[in-house]
Amino acid sequence: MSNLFRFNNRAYLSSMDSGRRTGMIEWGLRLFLGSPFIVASWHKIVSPDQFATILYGYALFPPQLINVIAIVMPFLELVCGITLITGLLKRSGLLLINATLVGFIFLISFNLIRGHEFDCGCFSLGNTKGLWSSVWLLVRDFVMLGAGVYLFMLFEGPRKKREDSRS
Amino acid sequence: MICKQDILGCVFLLSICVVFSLGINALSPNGIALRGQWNPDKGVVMAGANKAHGVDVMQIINPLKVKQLLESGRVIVLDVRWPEIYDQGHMQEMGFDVATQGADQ
Repeated sequence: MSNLFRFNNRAYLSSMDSGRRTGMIEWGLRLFLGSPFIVASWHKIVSPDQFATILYGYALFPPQLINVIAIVMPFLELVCGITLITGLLKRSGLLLINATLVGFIFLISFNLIRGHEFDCGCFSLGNTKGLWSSVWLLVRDFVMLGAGVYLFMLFEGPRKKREDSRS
Repeated sequence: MICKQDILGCVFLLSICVVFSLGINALSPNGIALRGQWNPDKGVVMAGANKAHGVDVMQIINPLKVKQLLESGRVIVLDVRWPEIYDQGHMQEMGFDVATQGADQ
């Protein structure tokens, strides 16, 4: 009976709607951030030598670490993308995605400022050179980082509720 | 707020990535060496092949060594540069010029 009353209650219905909407936004953002990371990792896993050459082209990494980064980085992207989409350790996966995005933004900005032309190597190997391409990359990474930060804030909601219900 | 669980999760995910990536790189025919040759002063910069699957690559930066090898008759040099560049200068003892003869054969 009390449940029936709650379903007739407009405030309860609107809160249910907003909860569903938040869930949809969360799902959308998880796909928006997770799927590019999975797609972007594939060609790097298949051709680590070419990815290493691209990293060398950034002229920022120590030569001793270029190969190790070229080997590990694509798997980091793949695992983070999978965690975000499947929901397993999604908060940690999202933290790592946000950290890598901050890293990308730093790398691109630094090379833009010093006027160094480079190939991004994000989704393909060898066809993203030039100033405007770099500016576009920077904008894209800022948008993704904004989405990542917002998604982390959305993840905070259920955690707070759990903590409130415990106390 | 970032809690302790999140940090532990990150460490766990990073460990998985390192173990998987190094393992798959070691087994993959496309795998690369852990340390590449990225010093332009030492010759061509390259990632270098994984030892388990890599083909022996001999990198020669001394022209006298090339001359010795050619005279010994143990090697054939294939010049795969474009004809315009080939005409600007090439070795006289060239075994086979791909740019001008290779297309026919």
